Amino acid sequence: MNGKSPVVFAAIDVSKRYRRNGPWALADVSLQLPNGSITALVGPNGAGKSTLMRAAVGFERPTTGRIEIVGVDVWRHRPAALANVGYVPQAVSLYQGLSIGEHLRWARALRGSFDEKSAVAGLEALGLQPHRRVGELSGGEQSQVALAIAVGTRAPLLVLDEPISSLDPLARREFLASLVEGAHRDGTTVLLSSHITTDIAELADRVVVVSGGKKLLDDSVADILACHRVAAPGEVEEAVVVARFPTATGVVRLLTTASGAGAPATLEDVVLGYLASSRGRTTEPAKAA
Amino acid sequence: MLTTARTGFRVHRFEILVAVLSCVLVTITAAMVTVSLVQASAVVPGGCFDAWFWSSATPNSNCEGPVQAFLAVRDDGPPVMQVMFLLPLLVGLLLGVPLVAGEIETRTAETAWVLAGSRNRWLAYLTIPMIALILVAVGGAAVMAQVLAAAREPWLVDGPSWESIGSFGTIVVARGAVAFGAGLLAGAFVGRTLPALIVAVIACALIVVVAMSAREAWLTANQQPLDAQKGELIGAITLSGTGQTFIDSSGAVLTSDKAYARIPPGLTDEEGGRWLSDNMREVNLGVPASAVPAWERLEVIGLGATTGVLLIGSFVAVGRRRPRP
Repeated sequence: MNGKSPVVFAAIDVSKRYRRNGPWALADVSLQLPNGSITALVGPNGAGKSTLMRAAVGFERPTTGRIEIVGVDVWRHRPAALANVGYVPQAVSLYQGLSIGEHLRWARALRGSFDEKSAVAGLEALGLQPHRRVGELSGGEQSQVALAIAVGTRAPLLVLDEPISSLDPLARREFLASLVEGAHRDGTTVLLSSHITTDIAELADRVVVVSGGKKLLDDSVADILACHRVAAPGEVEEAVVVARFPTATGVVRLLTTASGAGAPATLEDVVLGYLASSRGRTTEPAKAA
Repeated sequence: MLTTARTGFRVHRFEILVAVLSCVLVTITAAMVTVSLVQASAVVPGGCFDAWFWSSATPNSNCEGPVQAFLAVRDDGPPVMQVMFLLPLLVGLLLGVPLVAGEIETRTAETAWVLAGSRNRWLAYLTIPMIALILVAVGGAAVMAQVLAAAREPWLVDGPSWESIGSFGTIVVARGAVAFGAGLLAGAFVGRTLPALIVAVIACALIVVVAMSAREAWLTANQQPLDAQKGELIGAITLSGTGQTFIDSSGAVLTSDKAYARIPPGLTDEEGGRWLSDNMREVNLGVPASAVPAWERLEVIGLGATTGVLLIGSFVAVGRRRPRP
């Protein structure tokens, strides 16, 4: 993607609720992914991550706002928009009775631009031969096949909805390595949701923290880590405290934007801090409130 | 499309196997009964059927054995024809319900919908091969059933009678298509196979009831006096509840009440009966066998239109629905 090409993914004031007068699953979320970036959408269960991901692939219609892929409104012009998307759903959804090779041929039949050869090569490099039946593969291997299908589309945008949540640590590493390799090789823009922050810190260029349907933080990983520190209570002034959050041992830490004081924050500290700070906030889109 | 069709066939191979085997089994059974009927009717001397069924003359003594033998084989036909009534519904539902419901239930629709981009194209790739399969499998059985229906009534010369109508020919294929459409729409709407199957079975039952009611109404509207002596009753359907019907010398059709009211007063019952038989002809009200193709066309058009609506509904439902949350 060069500088003149349209933004691959843009969510513009997206709000979503599933029932009239029901709670807002998303409230006024705007998001623009830099082309070629890997962006992680982080938040607790029910934060609105999956709603945004599903809206991004045309499964959900935003109540207000819109999502554009390469400048095309996903809901209004779904086929044209989805021609630019590769997708890995939250639960791996492959035909258990079919072989890997049959899946790849099926993908090529549905998406003319599907690069079957490179998908086969990529999977063979992971020891996944095309003749193997998907039903006999482990969860991690099935995720690799799903990723190979998504990457094989050669789409400029990959949307991955918590693809690693059910994988063991090793399978997770292999999956993420494949993802990063494929994305960097092809210059693909990646939007991935997860709540495993340790992996994200190594993988993503950018992190978006959402909670209760609201976007709490949207910045590059480098800037996030540079701008946040953790301190003990009383170490910094209240004015620069973003949030108080407990550690695993129950010790309360302060997430702060103060420079110099305390220790450098990890991505997990920042995510925990912002999530803690969001508790008790109501979720209403600005226009609807 | 061939790859997608092959994938669909592989994914739904169990349903396809059951559907095709059912059709083949029924076709083979129908063929065997047909062969037996043809063999049995071949040894019946000429004129025996006419004398046996339609003439008031005493049948030739040579007729009894062969005709009875034929009738014994003929009794094997009805079970096949009854199965033929249900077979297209079974095949249509079996292939229609899981096609979309199964994809939604197993979540494969999520990957497929994003890959395909156009859900219409995806659904078309899935449905066209299945419809073709129904046309071939059910069509083959329907043709064989039509041959069987003809073999069961060798005395008919102008095609099939009203007996077993709906269990042979194009109506059977149309019923298979409408069941497929109902199953597809129910699956697309409900998104789970078992509940969708229940909905589709109810929908099919309603469609069959409506079709049968429409047939009754059409037969009532098209009934006419049929003269047994002229052979007009052969292969005809007579309507129940119409009672005795008479035609007077001017050709007017009279109900029994009106006919009896014309008996001159003062006659005894016996004399009145004689007057009636001298001055009027008793006939049956019904629809002749020659009208079968006309109704067949109408039912096929009706079922075809219903199938079209159901298929369009399926495309709309798939286009608008969300996958499993």
